[in-house]
Amino acid sequence: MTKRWIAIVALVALTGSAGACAKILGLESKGEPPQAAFEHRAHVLEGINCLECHGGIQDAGETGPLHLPTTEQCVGCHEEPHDPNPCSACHGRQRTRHAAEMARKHLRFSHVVHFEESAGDCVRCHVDVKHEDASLRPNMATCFSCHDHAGQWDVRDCDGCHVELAAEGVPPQSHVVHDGDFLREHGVQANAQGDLCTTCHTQRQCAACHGVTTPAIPSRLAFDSPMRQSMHRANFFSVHDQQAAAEPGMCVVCHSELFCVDCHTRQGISGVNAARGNPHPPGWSGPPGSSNAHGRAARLDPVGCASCHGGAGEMLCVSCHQVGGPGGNPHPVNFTSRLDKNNDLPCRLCHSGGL
Amino acid sequence: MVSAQPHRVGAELWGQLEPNAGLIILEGSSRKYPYIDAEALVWGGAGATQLGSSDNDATFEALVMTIKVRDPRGVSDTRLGRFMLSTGAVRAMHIDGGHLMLRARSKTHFEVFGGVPVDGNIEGRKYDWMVGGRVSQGLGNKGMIGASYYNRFNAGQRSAAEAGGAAALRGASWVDPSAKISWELVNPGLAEVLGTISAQTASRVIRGELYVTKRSPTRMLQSTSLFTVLGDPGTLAAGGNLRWRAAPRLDLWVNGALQDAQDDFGWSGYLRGVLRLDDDGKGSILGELRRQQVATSSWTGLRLASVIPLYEDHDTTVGLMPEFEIIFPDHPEPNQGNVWPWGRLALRWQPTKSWAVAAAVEASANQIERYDVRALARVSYQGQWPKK
Repeated sequence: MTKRWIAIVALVALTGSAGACAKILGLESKGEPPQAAFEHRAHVLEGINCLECHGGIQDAGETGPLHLPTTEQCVGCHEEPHDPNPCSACHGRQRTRHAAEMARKHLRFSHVVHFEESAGDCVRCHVDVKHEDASLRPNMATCFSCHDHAGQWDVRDCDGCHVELAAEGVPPQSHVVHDGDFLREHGVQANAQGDLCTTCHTQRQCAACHGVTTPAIPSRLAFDSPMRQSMHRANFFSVHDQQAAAEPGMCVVCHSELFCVDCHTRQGISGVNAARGNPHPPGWSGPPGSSNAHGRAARLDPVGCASCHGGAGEMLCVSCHQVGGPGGNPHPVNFTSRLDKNNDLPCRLCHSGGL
Repeated sequence: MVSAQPHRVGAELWGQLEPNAGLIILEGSSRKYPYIDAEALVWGGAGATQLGSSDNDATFEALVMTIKVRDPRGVSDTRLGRFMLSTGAVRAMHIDGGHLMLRARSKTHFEVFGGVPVDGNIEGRKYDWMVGGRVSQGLGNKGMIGASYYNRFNAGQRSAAEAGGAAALRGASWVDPSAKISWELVNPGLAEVLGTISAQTASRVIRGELYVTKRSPTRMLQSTSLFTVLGDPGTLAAGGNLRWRAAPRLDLWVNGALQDAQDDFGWSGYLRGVLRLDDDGKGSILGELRRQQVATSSWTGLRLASVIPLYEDHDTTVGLMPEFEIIFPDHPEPNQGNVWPWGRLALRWQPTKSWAVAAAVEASANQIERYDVRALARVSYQGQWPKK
């Protein structure tokens, strides 16, 4: 008997939890008034012309009201409304109206021109009106089906329709989709079609990561947008040395090879200014036969070494790794170079005299 | 299509205490003939040792100071000043110089660029300069392919000459392949190759990507560097990621990569979930678990973040953004601590659509500092006229 009660209670708890989860996940609406998609399909099937509700849209230019129906218009036909609240409180989604407001604000679009061209056939553009839960705003592909925007696309002239893409702040849905882990992907996309990127993005966004000095990486500059993806999270500082070791050459993809020494010197973590100690572990370098970990580390991440020991710092290496020196030959087997070893840098640092 | 466009201005002030640093960002654009965009990004620091200034020193430096002039018909784009150059297979480079692009009716784009690298005044590099060009062919909405070449000089010696190709294609509405390859000519060999292919379902419930990256670090250095003599072990990474909209308000990500650094094989990956607290995503919660185990790098990280809307009306919004992250290094060095926690609490107030004010306090313990507390603030303005 006790087991049965436990099972019943568990079942009730599970059902309640599932219901709560469904609401949290958006699978089920909350207890608020439901906002269903507007019943466009039902109105179309009744043979009601779009202009009966959206009167005036046929004369609308780039500015002005949205011509969404008011409750007064609805009760013109629905003479006995079942609820005293405004019809739009339940019929039609707020986000659909918001999308229309955003389109009015950010798009250069004139209904009056299109109304004449389409002979009053609204569905020719608003093809999704048959799906009651779909956004009614035509997508770009629909525009392209009539307009020769391909030419504008090819020359990156988005301004004809998009008033100000940067301010619009909407990631593209039909091209260079910024979904998934786009931060990881963006480089190779930008390489091939960087001028497309600049139709929305400005230099500050590039320089925030790729600048020689990066005083504020994006996750710090936009510190109030924690959901934004960022190559380096704010706590990246804690693991930056490990990350550099894990992906040799990766740092220099964005940063100048002198980026590291700039900071390490001023932090006192460098040979130039070792106020806070040598950054290298014991056994880093020593006489022949010792562990000499620096050799393998240098081959693993030469960019990391160059970031501190580049320029004049190279002489530290040359003091051992010169012809006849105790450091031995640093070249790997089969090393070749097109440089003139007597005259070109870095060869002449060691090979002076034609050795 | 040339039509009356708005003029736009934007300004942003950002600052932090400890280390003391600030940014001033100014942007403006005009859409009279020709189209003009101007940008300035200037940072200043005082006693900001981490950011390039000595104690008690005040430093100011322009990171971006550029003007871009564009023909409204798209025939030409010209950029002059200090900016990030990134085009084709040329790696992003911070230069003082210019970049000109001409577009032919055949969808062929011609580019020339050149200038002085911004780090050109450090240690014998005062004579650095670079020049290059690119030709690319547009394929309409199917993508773009191109080839590029550039030369860089260091103290009068050619220190880099790189040829490369890049392509971004869109074979179908559901798949985006793109690739880039850079070949170093002074010290001949592969510098970098990247390949990626992304695909998504028609409903966009799932989007996935497969990628491969190979880099040769020594060929990414200028050939005047002593460290180019070390040969070229190269590194390789291959992986993939998947984003799944598991429920209308829940997105899940999984990412994993295998990496090889000089025959040290390892892996890295993360699991991430974002739960939106309302249908419009104004509020949200993020959780992320990350693990890396490659070469000498091995650590585990956990991150939690949230956006909590506190108030909203037609124009005004107020939100709170707590964020927390903790890292567990596998092999902490002595005197560096066993865990490195970090946290931040930010508050944003947007009184109008044009203005936004935000402030935050963050605290952390990391391998350098046992206690590190900072304050941040930002004020931004965006305006345009005539108003639409």
